[in-house]
Amino acid sequence: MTKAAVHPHDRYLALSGLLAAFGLLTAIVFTLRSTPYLMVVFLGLGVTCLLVGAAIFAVLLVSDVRSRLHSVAERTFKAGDVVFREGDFPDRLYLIGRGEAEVMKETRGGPPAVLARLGPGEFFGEIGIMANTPRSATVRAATDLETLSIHRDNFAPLLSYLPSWKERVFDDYRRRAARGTAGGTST
Amino acid sequence: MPRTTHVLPCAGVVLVLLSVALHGQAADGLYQPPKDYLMEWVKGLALVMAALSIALIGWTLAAHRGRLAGFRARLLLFVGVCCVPFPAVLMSAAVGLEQSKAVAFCDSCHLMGAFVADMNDAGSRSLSALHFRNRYIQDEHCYSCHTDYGLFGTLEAKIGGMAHVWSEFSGAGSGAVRPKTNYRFTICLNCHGQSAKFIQQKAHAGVVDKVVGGRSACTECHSRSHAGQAERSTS
Repeated sequence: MTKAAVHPHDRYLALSGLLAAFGLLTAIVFTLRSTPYLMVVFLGLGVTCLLVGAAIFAVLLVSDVRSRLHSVAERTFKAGDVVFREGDFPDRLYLIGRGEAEVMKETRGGPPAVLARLGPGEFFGEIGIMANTPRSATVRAATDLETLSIHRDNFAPLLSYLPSWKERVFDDYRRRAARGTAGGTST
Repeated sequence: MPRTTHVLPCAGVVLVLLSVALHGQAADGLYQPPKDYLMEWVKGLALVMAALSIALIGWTLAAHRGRLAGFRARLLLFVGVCCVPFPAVLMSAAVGLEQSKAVAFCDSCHLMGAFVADMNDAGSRSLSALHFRNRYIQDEHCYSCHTDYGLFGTLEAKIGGMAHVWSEFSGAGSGAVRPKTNYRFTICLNCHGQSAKFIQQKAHAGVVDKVVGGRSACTECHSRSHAGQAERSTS
């Protein structure tokens, strides 16, 4: 069974929640019993934890909002740059405008195996988004690469606006997923 | 009648009963003045909000494990981490700081034990014991004499107190309570300065100017503020 993709913000959101909960716990203890030492713990440690927790939450929220605002963005990579790695969270789909990309799979002990070479007009990164699984392969720029990247949250609405493209994406998804299960090029 | 219409009157009755229970409780045959209702309500509200917030955070972390970046989990965490805690913590701080004026708060620090014991000593002739025994100060017995009045008096007292606590907490304290500066006897005048008993006392003629100018101290004529003060070098 394939493991579901976990958003990179997930653990930080959990940390934010735990810090806030600890700050609130010190507040409860201090409210029930006010002593000088508990005052130091509450004002020094508890309030700090709460502020740090809220700050982490705010930073993640801003980062998420910015990512969504740049839902369709041009991204360029130099030859040899890694676009994403196997196991990464599937945050974006990439359409190749210019250049070529290599889809690679890690092998035990040896160099990574190149599964496919993609060129202009082709796309990659849809499997992880559609199946909500971590990236199953690494993609590297074989030459200087110009792409149009689309945020995962805008992927489904985009497909509904572009029915012809939707068919092509689904065909490719089925083909790649089938090959992926046999060690193919699913990304 | 819908079920929800019963809930509000019942809740009201419970709240009224609780309020009555807070009023005029007798302990050991002594009359107890009513508690500060507002602070009791704020305290209850702060506790409820903090507990609910912790429960919300805990439930969200458990129920949305691995999916916390989703909209629903983020919204719940936003309420639990950013919205509810801040008013709850502000109320907790207000309640805690108000409670820190009580004698019990000062007595919870072992260094203050001897001072509080002297204040409670029925045979003591120290000024603090006399004030306490006769309830010259109604409440907040330590705080009333050890904080300056005015806009920043309370703040200065809290910061000074926190510095004492921190030095004890961090192990930098010497184990003895020493005043940071000379005691300001104008604090005594805040209560006594305009009383008829004080003004009519001939010995007090011209004393006010000297005390205000820092050239005279009340304890030059009256007994020490606390028993054994000279040995402990306290304020």
